[in-house]
Amino acid sequence: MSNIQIFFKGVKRGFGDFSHLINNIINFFLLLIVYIVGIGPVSAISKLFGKHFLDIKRQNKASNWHEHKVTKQPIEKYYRTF
Amino acid sequence: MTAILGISCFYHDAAACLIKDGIVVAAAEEERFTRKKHDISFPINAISYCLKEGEITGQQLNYVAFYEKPLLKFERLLSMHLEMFPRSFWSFYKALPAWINEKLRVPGIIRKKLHYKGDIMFIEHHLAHAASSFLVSPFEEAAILTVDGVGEWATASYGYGKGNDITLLKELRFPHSIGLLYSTVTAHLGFSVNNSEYKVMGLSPYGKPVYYDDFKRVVDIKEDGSIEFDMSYFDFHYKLTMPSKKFEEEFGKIRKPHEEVTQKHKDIAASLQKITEEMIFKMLNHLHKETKMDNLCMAGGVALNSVANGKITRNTPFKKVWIQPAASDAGTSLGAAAYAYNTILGNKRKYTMKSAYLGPSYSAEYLQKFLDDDGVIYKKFKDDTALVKLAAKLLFESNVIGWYQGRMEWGPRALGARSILSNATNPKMKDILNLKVKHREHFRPFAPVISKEDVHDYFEIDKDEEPFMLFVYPFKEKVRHLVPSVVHVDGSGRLQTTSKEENPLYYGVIKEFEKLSKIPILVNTSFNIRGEPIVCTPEDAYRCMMGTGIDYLVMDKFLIKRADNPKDMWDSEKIATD
Repeated sequence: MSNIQIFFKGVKRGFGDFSHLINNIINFFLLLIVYIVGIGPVSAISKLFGKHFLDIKRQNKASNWHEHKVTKQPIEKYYRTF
Repeated sequence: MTAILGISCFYHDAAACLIKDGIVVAAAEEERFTRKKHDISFPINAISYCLKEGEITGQQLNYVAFYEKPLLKFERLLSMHLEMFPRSFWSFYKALPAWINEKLRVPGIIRKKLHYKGDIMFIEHHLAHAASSFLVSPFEEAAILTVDGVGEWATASYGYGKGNDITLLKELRFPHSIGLLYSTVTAHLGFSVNNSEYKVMGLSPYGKPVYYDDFKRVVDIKEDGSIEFDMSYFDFHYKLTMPSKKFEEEFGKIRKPHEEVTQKHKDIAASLQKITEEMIFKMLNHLHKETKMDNLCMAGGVALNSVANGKITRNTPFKKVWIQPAASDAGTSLGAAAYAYNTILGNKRKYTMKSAYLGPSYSAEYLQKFLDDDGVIYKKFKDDTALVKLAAKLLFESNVIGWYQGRMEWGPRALGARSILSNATNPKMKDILNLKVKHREHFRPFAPVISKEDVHDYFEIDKDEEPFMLFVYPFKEKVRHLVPSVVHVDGSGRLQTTSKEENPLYYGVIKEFEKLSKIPILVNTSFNIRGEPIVCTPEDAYRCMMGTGIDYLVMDKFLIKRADNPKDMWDSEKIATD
């Protein structure tokens, strides 16, 4: 490989790394905004009303199995992603 | 013809499986093609292989079945962050781009990559696990237990299968998870999560379960086998790390990967294994009480805990246990496709998985061309008998042989298609293998392969075969000294049985070895460079041999001696990772 090719390969890699860095910085700030503006208020209001999204407090129940009966459904239900 | 492609990806162990008219024609993990261990990317290479094997194109598929419901999983992710705000930002920042770019766009990605316009079915994760085991099992009816880290919300589920149908009754939900507890301890002991859990299992017989009572404070095990964590010991619900500060205070500092494994680490591993078995057996006893069935099918990553698996029939009322070789997430591609074909479409089951050889194979012509083009010096055998005899002799002389034959295995175990074989009777063989090839931690055992008809002479085993190497059984006391390189410190072995019908060449070499040594057992370990997936192509196999200290490679009818090909030698340890 000639020196010119090595040089341009290095430049290309440098630009790649630089764009990756910019991408990360933009992602960070955008997601920070989403997190604070989107997740924050919903979380705060929910907790105010005693709503919990995860069972992270010990409840000392006799059983922690959850009823979730899964049987064959009409085919259309399997086309859903939820 | 009905052709269904099952896909699992974007979490860990991406894989694809093709079912044609109810028969599994091909299945493979993506890692084998991309050479990235536990590759999570869209399994385009595995899909291409499956379609090629099935002589079908993407457009000709009737259905594609995906192994989970992405929006339900996303709901769980959002719930985590809503609960843990503001402590979970870093985890949110790391996870969300992958959701936006891939995980929420699964239907679009599938259609685009496969040029596919038909219907896509989304099967709940634990239902796909359950189907991956029951629908290809030999049982007409069986109780089913699935246990892994986490799917959408479920971390374990139980139910039963009858004929074509599966009914799941109850589930455990995130964050209370046997799989996540095992991974947390794996991280605490300085091993890689979602990769090295089996190392912790291998370490456990060296310790004593002195931390069992401490683990009882971490996890409350109910009488019905359900569990409840004290979440102050964990960070995984809002951070990228798993054990919390409190866990470190209780069990000591997190071991760094380069640090020595001490007796304390061994004791922690032993305690974890003990409590894991207790949880599994309590779940199974409860499941039996609810279903009253004698047969059991298990799936999920925790079903790869072969030490616990080997004790099930002794600790529960179940009489027969069946686990599919790719029990972890890779297997859900099979489960999703089988569920679509048998349960949703209502087709009668007509396939029982008797063999794990579902991956790609390469013809003798292809192999010869590769060897000739590369200038490799080799010997070609006209008949299998002479090849098998020579291979057995080389093994008896304590050479290490790369054994590459036929279709690649489905699942994480090498079962005689992409295996490294050696002499189980040589007490130094474990050290030789570690020095030449595997460079493993000293505490990890090597597995035995034995001819099926001899298994009761060597093992305390309650069944006649174990073709997928998913159960650990004790060696009989009187034979342990005969095969020192495959007897673990507690006198057990994670065995594979094989027979003439299943794999004639593999079986043949064991029987020829028996003629020389009086012992029908060989060491069988996976054919790979440390940190890489098991080899797939002949090129991978040759490269692996030349980069390690494997003495010979037997590929189809070709015998290649490493020492004859010095031009291709290299040192794989320079690139080896965990």
